[in-house]
Amino acid sequence: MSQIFLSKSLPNFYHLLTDLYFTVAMEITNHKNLNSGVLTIRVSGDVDLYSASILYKTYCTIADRGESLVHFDFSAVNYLDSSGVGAIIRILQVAKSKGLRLSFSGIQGTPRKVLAMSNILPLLKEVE
Amino acid sequence: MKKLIVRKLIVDEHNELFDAQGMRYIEFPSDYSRVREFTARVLNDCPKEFLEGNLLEQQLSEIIKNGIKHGNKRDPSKKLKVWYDFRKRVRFIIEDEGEGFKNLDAWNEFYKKRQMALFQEDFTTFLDLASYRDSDSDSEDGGNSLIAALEYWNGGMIYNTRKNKVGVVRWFTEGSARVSP
Repeated sequence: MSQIFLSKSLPNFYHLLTDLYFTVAMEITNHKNLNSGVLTIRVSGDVDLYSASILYKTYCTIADRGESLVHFDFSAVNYLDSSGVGAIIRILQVAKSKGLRLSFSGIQGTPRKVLAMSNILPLLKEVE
Repeated sequence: MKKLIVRKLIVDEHNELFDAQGMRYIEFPSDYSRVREFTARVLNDCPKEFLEGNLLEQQLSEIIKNGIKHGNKRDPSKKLKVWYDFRKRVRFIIEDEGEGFKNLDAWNEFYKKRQMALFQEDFTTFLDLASYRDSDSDSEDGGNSLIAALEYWNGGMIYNTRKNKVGVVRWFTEGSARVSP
């Protein structure tokens, strides 16, 4: 199991914005089920303009390793912006070019609405 | 029955969305590392029923990001100006000091082709067209913020003639607008 954690330092006054306080952090963990051969990437936190490229690069590293079955668990993602959507699109494009399979689960709340408004949901193979 | 929906970015210098009378005002330096902080400051006293989780924050941050990054080119001497109003709906006017969105017409053409591919369920073409790219794009650009914005800003998204200022509004019904699905 490997883990990447990205966090950003916040100005002190930020904590005063109680109504809109958010966690500017993304965490990525992955583990492989040796029986099924599926490598699951679990993403949590905010996939935004500051962190989205890390998600893309993480997948590229895994794809370059030849992992053919990758599953993304987005159940702990709270925030997704256009950079995050763009990262998912680029991941789909890489997987397609290499003939690799992807699946997704746990896309809910605002991230799901953002993907829906961007018309990207039909491209995602979602599993339970 | 499935319908082809193709929206457009519109230029209308004299549109009522640019009437800033009665709106509150704040301006920010072009600091890309503080896009989400600036967004939070604008929305600090926004009524909760308009926030829709963090959807309003996400949509506003896209416009602020575009102004700072693509408009002002992250030049710290250039300001981003934001007018905002939360009475009965959310409305913003955001102006940068850049040269304007020169590729607006090309973007409309891109969006038309993208939506056509989606309508025809040509997912191979759609995936190729999923993100808009131009000479100004970099690896951090999602290339899709305007696509979601056209749906989200259900009362209009209008550019001025110079295309460095955008007016947007979102109306709510029964406290929350619907976003499909």
